[in-house]
Amino acid sequence: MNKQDEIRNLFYRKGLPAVENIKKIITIPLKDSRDFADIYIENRISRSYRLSEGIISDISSSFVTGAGIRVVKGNNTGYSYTENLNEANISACVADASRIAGSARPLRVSGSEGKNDLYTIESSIEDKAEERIALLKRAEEKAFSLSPYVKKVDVSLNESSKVILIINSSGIEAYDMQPMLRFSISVVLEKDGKRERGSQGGGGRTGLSYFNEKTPEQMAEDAVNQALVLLESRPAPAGEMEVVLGAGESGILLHESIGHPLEADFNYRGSSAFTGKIGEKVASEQCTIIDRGDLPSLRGSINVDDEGCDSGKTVLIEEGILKTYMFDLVTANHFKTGSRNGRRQSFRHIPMPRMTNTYMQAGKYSPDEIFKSVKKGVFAKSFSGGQVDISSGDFVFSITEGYLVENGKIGYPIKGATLIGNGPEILKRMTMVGNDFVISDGKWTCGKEGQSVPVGVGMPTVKLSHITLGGTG
Amino acid sequence: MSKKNLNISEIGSEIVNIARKYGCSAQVTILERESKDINVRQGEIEQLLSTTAVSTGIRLFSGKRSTIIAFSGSNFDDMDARIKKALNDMAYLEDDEAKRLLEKKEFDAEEIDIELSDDGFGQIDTAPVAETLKKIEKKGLAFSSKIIPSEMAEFSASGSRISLFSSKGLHKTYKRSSYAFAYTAVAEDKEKGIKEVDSYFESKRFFADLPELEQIGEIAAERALKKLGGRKIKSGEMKVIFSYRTAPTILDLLSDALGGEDIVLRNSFLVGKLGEKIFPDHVTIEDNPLIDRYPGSYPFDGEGKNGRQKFVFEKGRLLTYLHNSYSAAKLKMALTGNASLSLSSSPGIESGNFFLRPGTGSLDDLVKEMKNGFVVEELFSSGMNPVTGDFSFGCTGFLVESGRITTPVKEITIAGNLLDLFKNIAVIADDNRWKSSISSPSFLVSKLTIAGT
Repeated sequence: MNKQDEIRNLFYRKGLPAVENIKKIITIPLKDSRDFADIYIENRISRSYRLSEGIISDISSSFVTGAGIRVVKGNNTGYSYTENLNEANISACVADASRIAGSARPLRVSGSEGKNDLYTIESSIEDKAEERIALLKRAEEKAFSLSPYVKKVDVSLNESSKVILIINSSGIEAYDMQPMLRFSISVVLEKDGKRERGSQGGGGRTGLSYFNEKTPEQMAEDAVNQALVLLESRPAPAGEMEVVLGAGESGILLHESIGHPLEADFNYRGSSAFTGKIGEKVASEQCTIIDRGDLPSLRGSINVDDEGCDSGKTVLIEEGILKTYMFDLVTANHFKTGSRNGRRQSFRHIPMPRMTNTYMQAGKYSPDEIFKSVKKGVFAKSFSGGQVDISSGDFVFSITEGYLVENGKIGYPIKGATLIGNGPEILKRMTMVGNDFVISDGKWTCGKEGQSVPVGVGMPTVKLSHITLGGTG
Repeated sequence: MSKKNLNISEIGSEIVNIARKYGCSAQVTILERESKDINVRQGEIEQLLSTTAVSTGIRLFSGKRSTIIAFSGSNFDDMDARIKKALNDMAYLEDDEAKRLLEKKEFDAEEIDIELSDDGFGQIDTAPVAETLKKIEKKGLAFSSKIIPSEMAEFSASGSRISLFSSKGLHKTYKRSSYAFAYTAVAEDKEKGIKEVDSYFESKRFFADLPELEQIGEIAAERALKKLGGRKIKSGEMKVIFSYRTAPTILDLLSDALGGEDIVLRNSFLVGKLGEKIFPDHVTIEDNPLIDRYPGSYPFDGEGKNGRQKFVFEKGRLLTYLHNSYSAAKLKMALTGNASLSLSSSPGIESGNFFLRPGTGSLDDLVKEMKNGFVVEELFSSGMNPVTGDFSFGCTGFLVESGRITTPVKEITIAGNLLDLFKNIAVIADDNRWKSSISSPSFLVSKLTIAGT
């Protein structure tokens, strides 16, 4: 059976009317042929295993099924959802959603050509419990074996398997089966009355084969090493200084400071610090920044977005010039362009422009050259997250593991500290871009207006000529 | 839709019976929720969402083991098969002495009745709400020519019913409602090419308790406007005021650190600090889930234990952590009625209405008293180490010089250790706002490190 039939049949078993009927049902309340409607039908199974306090303490499963119906008239959107897939419930939702008023404007819709095939569905996440539990135990055992200071180890494996079917009033049908795996370990170490925490995580749109690449032992080692480093950490300096952003996780900076303000909804509403700046030079020529949803197996990758458009590569900033924003269908229509970044948390949520995997292309400097150029500053290696103020462009991101750098040499570790800057300004201060691009995958979740979606980030080693570091020293 | 026909107590007892048939006990949590969101932008309804949802969580217990299944929707036909399948997981779990269902005597005979729902969800009419939102937006835009038409005026309402059942005879239900109006204003200085955004909202459990709404637009506009022209200040130590907007964020971090599960995992800077003096004498912090119409109220917690009023810090001393049955058993401490309502995972821990008791005076009085320093108006609070209490937050706010607010400040951080910050709380105002379940009056901290230029 092909994927399309498999997905249709899954939903038919749950009471969904025939796809041909749905196409009719969703167009019934559209008085104007230029109005648009779509339905997003979702089935999601999630499983999680947790090892805590030395035992396999929790196993949980969740099953979610539903359909969200959207009616778009011009710029205005009506939305309703149901957890029952039968015709009566869907029709009632269509009626609810169509209560939105709006001046009709044709919504130009392109649909999936089904060109992406970025991940494979391995065995069912409901099977192979022993194998999964063994992974948690391996991580725990390794963590305790690494240091006598390890006091607590908490390990979990969360997986989900999501099936979506999207049908719209232009007659387009798109579908996808999206696996997701995330492994996390956190440890608490105690030494000489001091206590510190370390953590590591990883995964992607993959199954157990992920652990052939990255073992639970490696993640345990990363977590313990981080805590050991933090136990020796000293207060971070305070004020403006040179900062070397490590390859990989520093991509969080792009995500916050540039990614969010380049989402088209903020620009259509005019609230972004980058509104009206397409075609302008906004960054140093060394900066080429890309959002790309069609990379294999990554956490932020999607074959189709949540409005049924194929994912793809969007060059946001090319050699310093702002090229475009990221669009969903409604904002793409406004800016008269195509869409591939319409995403949503679930059938309970309205789609909006969101990032997928956002990264900066490698540059020309070796990391060695970059470090050697630093007189006195900080090397920021790993991060816990960040935040941005869309309008002013001010953003923060929080270092969990960082080091002092003096005369080109990496020195003592510093306590966690926040970096704060302004997006448009910071882009111009990226004076050296490294040739060592790394994707930091498998652990990032992006929150926007109450909706969470999985994303990836990536970055080469980059030098910032100056940025404010929020230490105490 | 189908919700009206659901007989929740029948479903609850049926699930418990199925569990019994398979030799298990169970706790069933059912959440029924209706919600409506209306967003107005440039005088038009731009987004209109209406929904009805039912979510169910079942914790199955067999001896010292427990597994969880959760699902959406009001189709309860295949409960038997679902439960049977979930029981396969018991074999993979290991005995956990702290895992259990609450006994009948623990979930208290006395029923607590607090007002949390006005049963008004069904009467919400889109048209008048949209009119109010349009007026809010209009007032915001009229406040100054620098306020640009941009973000939205938003309304959200919900009505929900929470029901708990268990094999130990637990059968409790309560309803709650919530209504909120908000506006996000964007101020632009076209000459300087700068923009600032800020927002304001009002939220109440009873619609009738909402204050005058049109002013929401003006307050948001005023806030955004005041931020225009913000600049960095020099790094160094300063006196700092956390306003009633940002003080609750500090209390939120405190409430997280009090969670018994994090104490068990030694993932909190309050481990081993029970009975110790954490704050100065004039600080008392209370957790009370039993206040009529308050945002953090609940009659009973996620395990069926009645909520209760308690002092968490009295005269600065730490009296209790917050527990669910797991953390209480692990630490051999008494239940506090703070299990969170969880469907797809074991109950976590949450506070009720968690608040710092007011002192005297207003934010203005604090500003005068401080003379020179910094008022924190917004916090980017992701930089927190829960184990050590070390923090480093981005913030915006205002510089205070000679007892007066002078300039807006942005792109700076404040950093230190929460235990030091707590000890340095010098003056507390009496301006608690109850915008969310965690509330604090503005307070003055005698010194904190600021990083700017």
